Amino acid sequence: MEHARSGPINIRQRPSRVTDFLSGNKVLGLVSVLIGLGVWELAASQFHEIVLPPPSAVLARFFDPDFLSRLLPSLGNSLFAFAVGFGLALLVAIPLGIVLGRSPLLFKMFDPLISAIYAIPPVAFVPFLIIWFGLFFEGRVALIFMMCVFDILVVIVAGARDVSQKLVDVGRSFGASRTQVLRLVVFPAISPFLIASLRVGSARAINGMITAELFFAAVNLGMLMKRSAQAFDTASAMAVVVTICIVGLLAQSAIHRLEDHVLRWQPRRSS
Amino acid sequence: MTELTRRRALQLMGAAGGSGLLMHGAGPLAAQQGRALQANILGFTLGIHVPAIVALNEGMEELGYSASDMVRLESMQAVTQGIVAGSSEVGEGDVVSALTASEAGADIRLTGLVYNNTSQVLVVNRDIIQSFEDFKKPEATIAINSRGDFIYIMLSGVFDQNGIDIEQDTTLVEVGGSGSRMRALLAGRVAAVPVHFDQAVKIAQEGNFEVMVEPGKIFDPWLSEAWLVNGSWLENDENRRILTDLQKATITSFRRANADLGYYADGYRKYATVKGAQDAKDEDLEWAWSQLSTEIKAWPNDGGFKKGYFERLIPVYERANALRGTLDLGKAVDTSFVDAALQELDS
Amino acid sequence: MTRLRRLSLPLIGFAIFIVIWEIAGQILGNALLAPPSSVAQTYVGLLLEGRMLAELFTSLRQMMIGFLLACFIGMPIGVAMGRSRVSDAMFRPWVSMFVVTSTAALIPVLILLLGTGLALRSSVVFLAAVWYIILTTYNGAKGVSPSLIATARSFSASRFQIFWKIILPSIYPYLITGARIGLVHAIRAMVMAEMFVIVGYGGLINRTGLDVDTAALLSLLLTLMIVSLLANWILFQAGRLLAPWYEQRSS
Repeated sequence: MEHARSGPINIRQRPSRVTDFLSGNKVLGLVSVLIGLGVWELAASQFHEIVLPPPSAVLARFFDPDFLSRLLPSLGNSLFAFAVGFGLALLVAIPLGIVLGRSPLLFKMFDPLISAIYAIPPVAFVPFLIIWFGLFFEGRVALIFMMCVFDILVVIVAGARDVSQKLVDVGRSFGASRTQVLRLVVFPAISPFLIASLRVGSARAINGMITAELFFAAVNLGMLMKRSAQAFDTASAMAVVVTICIVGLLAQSAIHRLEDHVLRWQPRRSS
Repeated sequence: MTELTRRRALQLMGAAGGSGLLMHGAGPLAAQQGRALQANILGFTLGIHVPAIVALNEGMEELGYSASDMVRLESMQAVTQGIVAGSSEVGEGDVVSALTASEAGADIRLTGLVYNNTSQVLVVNRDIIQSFEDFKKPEATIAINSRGDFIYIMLSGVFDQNGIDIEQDTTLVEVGGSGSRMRALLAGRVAAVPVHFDQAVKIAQEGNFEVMVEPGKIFDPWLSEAWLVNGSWLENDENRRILTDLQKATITSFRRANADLGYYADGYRKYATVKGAQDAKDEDLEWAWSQLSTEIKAWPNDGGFKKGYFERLIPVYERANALRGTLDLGKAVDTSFVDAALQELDS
Repeated sequence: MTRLRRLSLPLIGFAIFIVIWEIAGQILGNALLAPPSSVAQTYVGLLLEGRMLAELFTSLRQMMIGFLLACFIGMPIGVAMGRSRVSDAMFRPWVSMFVVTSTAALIPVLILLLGTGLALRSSVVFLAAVWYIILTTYNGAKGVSPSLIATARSFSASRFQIFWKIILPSIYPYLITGARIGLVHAIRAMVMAEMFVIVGYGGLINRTGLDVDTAALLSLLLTLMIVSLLANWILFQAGRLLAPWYEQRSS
């Protein structure tokens, strides 16, 4: 396939929406999911409904008004905690990541420490978070923060370290100040990593959102899952899991859109 | 036979004339000599569990089987689910979740007692809670594992007796993980938490914490944990035989534990998952043992497993919303194994 | 940077951390946050007793199965997704859905389906790590310069040669980052699964969590931190060894 053309900058070829659809992206995705559902349905016939409910049972829950009336408000509340936790993590990790990435000194000082803390499963952290932040909203936000901040940091640091020194030198030789170098050279150069960090970070944060609700004072979606499991209504519990999966899908899709927009101008790096 | 039962059995035979402490009756069918029962048990073995766990191992060995294959799971819920899924033969599960599962359509049967009542107590922060009325304060939060638990139902019963509606009048939170709940109490994040009585002693040393309610001494009987099996597993005669033998082993273990501190202590040292259990001395365990045996009556000599007990508890469960009211008790509870075991033992 | 400086810097970072921890620990007390001074004593005791390390090695060994599987399956899928729109379309929904699923929510279901043995723990590790490996590799594969590929084609390079000489070196940093992230998730997932079935290192953590004194628990977590660091360092060194030319790109 031919690359390049319009203008002096090598613009990455972005097919139009129409060709996107026609090339069957969405259709293929749908087919893939349907096949998966088929496999699930087959497997479920081997087990009791309490152990592995079939997709049909799980789907039926979404049409049950009683279930929906409990699901939707819970989802809203859960997403709020997600937004706060994720937002805070971005605010902290992006600047910190750039600083650590650009300063070999600070990087060497703190990288091992960050990696070490990152190693501990969130479950083990929970009692301590409860002590410092309590059992409720603050505690959950703290867990969500902890669960995604390191992932974001690792990716941003990798990106910041990856910025070609040549580009920075060129900028400096044109008399750019440090902030200008940051804004006009570093930021654009790390934008693919920024997007990658959003991908991973949002996934971790959504994950953290439900984990927090299972390990702190049970509320919202976590509470719904617990209740369903207690009543041995596994179909409802799975419906909650499916809801989270859909949220995840939507998030990744949104970031994909963002990526198309932000990276449209991105020249392919030649090394 | 292992050290544990051989030594003890001889002592007991000498001392008490062996009444009810020996296991009579048919043993395993020839084909089952040396067979090991597969059992799902809880991740933690505390004092109250000891006789049942000894029965699973030394008890079964004494009858001619091998010690059981024990798989430890973190939550009672998981044990029940495992039985429903058929991933194990027998489970040490909690009565409430088993009945709930049965009501929800699972073919799960309760066949014998693992222990009666509970060794859990409610520890409160005395700075916040001095009397039952204080539970109405918004900062007087109680942390439990989940509302489906038997401890929740017991507590709601106790609170009822003291004029407090546990749902309307108090602030209740469900927190998974007993470590988390305990830390929350120590850190002042909640005001009351149910813990096992040996933990309560250690917690009291950390501040103004005190045991306020001992549900184990209030209710009698209260079927807490039972031997659960899947209905389809019972269709096999060999399985039915081994289940009867399990009841015999359990009841005999209860009787021995009640009669002899040493038996309990040996079992504790071998099976308890409490820190320092292996080195615990008989004298150290004496207080807990007498509480469990005499005050809480955790190990009934007659197996403590009668339909009548369940019938009395069902309304309590329903009021606590653990059951909906459509349970077929006749199907869920099968006392035939305990009855057969008692007959064989006492004949 | 001199060797001395290179070694002393992380130590300074740790020193700062230890000081903060000691202060907080003294204020809060052993029941809430045992300070390093208490933990050190307990730590030596645990080391000598031997169980901590024994359980640790068993757990890590078993974790490798799930992790290696995640690498061998995840990396090719990630590359395929990055280079082929068909693969991207097919795998994307699954990756997006599973990556947000909490391991803690999945474990009870998996226990029902797989029991509590090695199969369960390996699956949990696999499911926890593979999506991150896929995602990271995918990002790398998407970013390979088309002009490089076009140049190679004009020299009649075969598809295999293009893969080996153009694509692979291009995505190399992403593979290493992906493996790094994946490994940490693998270790965490292993410990988490073990906390549910009360076996191995996770089981040890679970039980120790019930002690009123947090010193032992913190000791166990400390060991976990050290292990993860070591694993990270090993991967980093392996990365440099295999592609020494990469380091020269930056600074």
